[in-house]
Amino acid sequence: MTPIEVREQTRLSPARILNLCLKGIRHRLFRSLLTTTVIILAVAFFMVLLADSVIARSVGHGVQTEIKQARRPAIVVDLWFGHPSPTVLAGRISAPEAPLAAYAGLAGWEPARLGQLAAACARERTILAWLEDLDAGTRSILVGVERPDEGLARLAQEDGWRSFQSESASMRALRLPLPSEDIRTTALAQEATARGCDELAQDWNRGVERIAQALRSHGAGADQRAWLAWLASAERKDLDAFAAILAQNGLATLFPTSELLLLQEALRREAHRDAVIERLKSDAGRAAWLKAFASQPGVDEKLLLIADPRADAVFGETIPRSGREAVQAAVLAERDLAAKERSLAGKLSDDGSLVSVRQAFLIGISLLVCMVGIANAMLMAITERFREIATMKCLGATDGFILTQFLMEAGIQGAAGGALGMLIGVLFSVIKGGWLFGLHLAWYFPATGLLIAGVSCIVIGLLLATIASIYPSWVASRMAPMEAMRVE
Amino acid sequence: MTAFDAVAYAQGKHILVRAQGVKKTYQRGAETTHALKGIDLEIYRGEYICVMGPSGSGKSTFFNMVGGLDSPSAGRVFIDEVDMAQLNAQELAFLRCRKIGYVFQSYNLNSVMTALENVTLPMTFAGMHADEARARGMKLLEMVGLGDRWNHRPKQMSGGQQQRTAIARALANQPTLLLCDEPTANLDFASGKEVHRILRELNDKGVTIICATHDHEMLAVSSRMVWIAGGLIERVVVTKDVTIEKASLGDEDHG
Repeated sequence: MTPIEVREQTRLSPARILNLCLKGIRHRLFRSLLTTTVIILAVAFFMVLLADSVIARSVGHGVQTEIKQARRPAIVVDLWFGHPSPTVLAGRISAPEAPLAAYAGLAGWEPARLGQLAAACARERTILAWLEDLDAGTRSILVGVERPDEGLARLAQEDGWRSFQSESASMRALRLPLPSEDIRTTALAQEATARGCDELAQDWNRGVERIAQALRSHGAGADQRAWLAWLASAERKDLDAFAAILAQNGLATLFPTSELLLLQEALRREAHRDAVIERLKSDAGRAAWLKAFASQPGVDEKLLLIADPRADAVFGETIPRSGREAVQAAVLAERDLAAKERSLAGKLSDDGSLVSVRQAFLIGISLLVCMVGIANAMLMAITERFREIATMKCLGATDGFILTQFLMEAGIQGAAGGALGMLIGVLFSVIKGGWLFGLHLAWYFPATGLLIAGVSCIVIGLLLATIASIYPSWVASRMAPMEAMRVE
Repeated sequence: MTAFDAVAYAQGKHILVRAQGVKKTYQRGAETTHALKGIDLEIYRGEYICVMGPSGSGKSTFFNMVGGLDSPSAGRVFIDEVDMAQLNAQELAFLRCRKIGYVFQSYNLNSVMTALENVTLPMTFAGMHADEARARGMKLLEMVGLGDRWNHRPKQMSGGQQQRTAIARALANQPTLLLCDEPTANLDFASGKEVHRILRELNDKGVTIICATHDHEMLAVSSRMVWIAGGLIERVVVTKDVTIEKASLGDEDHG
C-alpha cells in the first residue's frame, strides 16, 4: 500500500499551454465578440491615422520630388545663363547653401577669393538686416540717418562711427549683430566688397557669354555644327554623346556630370523657345494668327499657340510641327505641375512628423478607452467562464497556468483582431487616399510604409489586449476551484 | 443496514481521509453562517461513501473540504495523514491533479474540446507525453463504453454520455480518491443506472469513492452512508462492510 506522496505540480512549458489555447481559439474568438470588436475598432482607428499619414507623406514626397526635378532645368538655365546683377550675385554667394565652387569655376575666380567676398557680403547683409529691423528713431540716434541702406556708409565715416560707439554703449538693451570691431571693419570694407561683387558679376557675365556663344554659334566650326545638329534631335538618354561634344568644345570641366542631363534638357527647350520667339519677331506677315498670338498676355500663352494648325502657315518648314508640339508640351507640362503643386498643397500637411501632437493625443485617448473596454469585456467573459476555470483547477491547473493561458488567449485574440482591424483601416485609408490623390496614390504607393504600419498595428493589438487582460487574468487565476461544484 | 460502531468498523482498515473537528463559518456582512459546526469522520481506503442530507445542511461544504477545494475555519482535514492546510498552492494542484478525481453534477466538460481532449487534459497538466495520454485516454473512454465517441464534442453527446466522459476524465491520472458531486442528479434513470454500475466497478477495483447524492439507488451500491444535517453528522449507516482484504488497492492500473 503506497502512501500518498505530495510534490509540487508539474510546470507546463509555454508551448504546451499555447497548444491548449489554440485548440478552442476559433470558438473563443466568436464567443467573446465584444472584446474582438473593441480590438478591431481600436486598431482600425489607429491604422487609419497611421496609414493616412504614411500615404500623405509618400505622395507628398513623390510629387514634390517630381516637381523639383521638372523645375530643375529652369533653375539650371537660370544659374548658368542668367546674367545676374552685382547685388543679386552678392545675395547668391552669401546664402548659406551657395555652391561657391561652381560659381568660382564659372567666373574663373579663386575659390578663396570668392569665399572672402561671400563672407564679407554675409556680414554686410547681417548689419543691413539689423539696421532694417531697428525702428527709425533708434536708427537716427545710433547712426545719424533714417534710411537703413545709408546706415553702413555712415558707419564708415569717422564721426558717424564715433556717435555710434557712444550711443550704442549707453543703450543697455541694444544687441549688436556682430562685435563692434567687426561692424567697423565691414563698414570700412563696404566699398571694396561692392567692387568685388561688381568684378565677380563682370567675370560671371563674361564666362556666361563665352559658354553661350560656344554653344549657340552657328557655322563656327564642324564640331559646333555637329553639336547643334545633335542638339536639335537630342535624345535625353544620350548623355555620353553630349559629354563628348562638350569635351570637344573644351567645356567639359564646366559641367558636373550630375547636371549634364538636366542641362541637356534645358538647352533643348531653350533652343526651341528661342527659335520660336525669333521667328515670331521676324515674320509679321500672317496677320490673323499673329493678332491672336499678340493678344495672349504671357510668353507661355503665346507658346501654346504655336502648335495651332493656323500657325503652320506662319512657320512652314522653318520650324517643323513636331518641334513646335514639343515646345507646347513642355509649357503644358510645366503648367500641369504648377496646378498639381497647388492642388496638393491643401491636402498635404507636411510638418515633418509622422503623427501630429493632436493625433498622438487622440491615439493615446483611444488606446486608453480601448484598454478599459477590453478589460471590462474580458472580466465579463471570465465570469462567464468561471466554471470552466474552476474545473481546470480541480483537474490540476495551477494559478500560473490559468494566468498564462488567459494572457495567451488575449494575445492571440488581440493579434487576430488587430490583423482584421488593420485590414479595415488600410482599406479605408487607401480608398480615402485614392479619392484625394487619384492616380498619384498608385504612382507613389507606400507599400513598405504600409507594411511596417500594418505589422506595428498587429503588435499594438496584441499588446493592447494582453495588457488590458492582465487584471482579468489575475482575477481568473485566483478563482477558487470550489466554484466548479456550484450549480446554476 | 446496521447501526454504526466506529471502533469495530475501523478494525484492520487504512484511513485515507480524516476530518478532525472541521468547522466552517461564512461571513456575509454582519451575518455569520455556521455551515459546519464540528465534523469528525474517518474514511478508509476502498470505501464507497454516500454523503446525504437536505439542501443547506453543509453537505457540499464538507464535500469541498475533503476534496481539498476549500479550507476549514477550524479543525483539520488529513489525506493519508497529510494535513491539507500545510500544502501550498502548487502541492494542492498536484494533489487535485493526480490523487483526487472529481465528477460534477453538471459534468463541467470543456465544450470546445472533444471527449478525448477532455479526458487527456488532466494528463497534460501532469506533464504526460501527448501520445501516451492519447492511448490512455482511449482506453479510459472504452472502459466507460464511449470508445467510438472519442471525437464527439459535449454538445453532440447525451447527459449520460457526458457524465461517463467526465468519469473517464476524473480517472485520467489514476486517483486514489474519487469525489462525485450528485453525479446522477441531472440524468435519466437508465443513464443513472449506468453511472452507478461504473462507479461500483471502480470501487471494486479499489478506488475510494465519496459521493454526495440525493439518489437512494446509490445506497445500494455504496458501503457506508453519512447523513449530515445542520452542519453536523447526524448518523452513519454501514450498508455493506468492506474489508481491507477485499479491496485491491488503487495504485495499480484500473483502466
